[in-house]
Amino acid sequence: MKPEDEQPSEEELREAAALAAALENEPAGGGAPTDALETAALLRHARAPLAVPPAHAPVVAAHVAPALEARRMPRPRRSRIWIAISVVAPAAAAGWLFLAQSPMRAHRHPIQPKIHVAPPAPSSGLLAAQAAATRSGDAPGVALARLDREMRAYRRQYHEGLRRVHGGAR
Amino acid sequence: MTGRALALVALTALALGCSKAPPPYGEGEWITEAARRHGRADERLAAGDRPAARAELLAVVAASVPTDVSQEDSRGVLQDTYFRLAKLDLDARDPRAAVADADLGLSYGKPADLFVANLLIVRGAAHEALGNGAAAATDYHQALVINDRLLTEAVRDQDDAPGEAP
Repeated sequence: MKPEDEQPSEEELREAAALAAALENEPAGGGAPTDALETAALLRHARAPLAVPPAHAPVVAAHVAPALEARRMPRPRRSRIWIAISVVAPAAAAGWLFLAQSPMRAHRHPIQPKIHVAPPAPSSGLLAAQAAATRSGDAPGVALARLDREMRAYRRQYHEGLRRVHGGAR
Repeated sequence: MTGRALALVALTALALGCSKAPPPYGEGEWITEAARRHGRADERLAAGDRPAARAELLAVVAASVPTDVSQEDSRGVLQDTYFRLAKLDLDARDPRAAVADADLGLSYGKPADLFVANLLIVRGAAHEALGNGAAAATDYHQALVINDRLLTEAVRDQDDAPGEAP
């Protein structure tokens, strides 16, 4: 370590004393450096609250009042714009998807006429059971049960025909 | 401002999500599922479990029909299912429910075919059980007219079949 780092010079001591005096708002001697005085002045102002001289108060109030009033007033126009955007943007996105996807889907899977699969012709046994069930008698449940049994085979045949045409796992 | 922007993004995402909801079944899957549930209803009935059979059939009518299935095909499957439901109602001695199920089936249309005739028969039986003879007779008569037409067609088809003529 150099000896000059340990012992401040006389000039440094004088400048430090002048800076301390300037910070305490005391009249500084002639040895105070200009940049140190400026720094001290800034520090003093930072600590002190901002005060407007009473003579200038009406002028400042006249300048500040409109800005304060504008901040205090609600901003209906901006709110309306945001509400409108909130409604219109999702609706537009959904509409765009609907319009954009339909032709794409139609292109990938061309719309085909719906196919109707004619039911198989009923067997004579099924028709006989149906005719018997239309006659009310002492035991309508028996005729209905027979019709139900006959329908099972017919139903399997009908579903099989539908699956053959429309696809689907067995 | 940030809250509004987030709400806007959320709404947009919701709109996009809703617009891309896929249908539950394709046409083949719907028919396969209906056939599978009818088969399981048969098994449940054979085991004597009528409520379970009913639940299988209710699942058929509750499923949404894919838009690519023709109205005639879906009508046939659904009317046949309502016929079975009404028959189960009658077996459970609930003719009012049978009338209601038959009415639901007939609401899909009343062309003169096998499925409509079956619904008229089961509704006639339900009216009969309720003591409403006039309504039962009307339903039985309409069913008989359809049955007669189907029988005539069957005989005609048999006569027209190649190799059958003398």
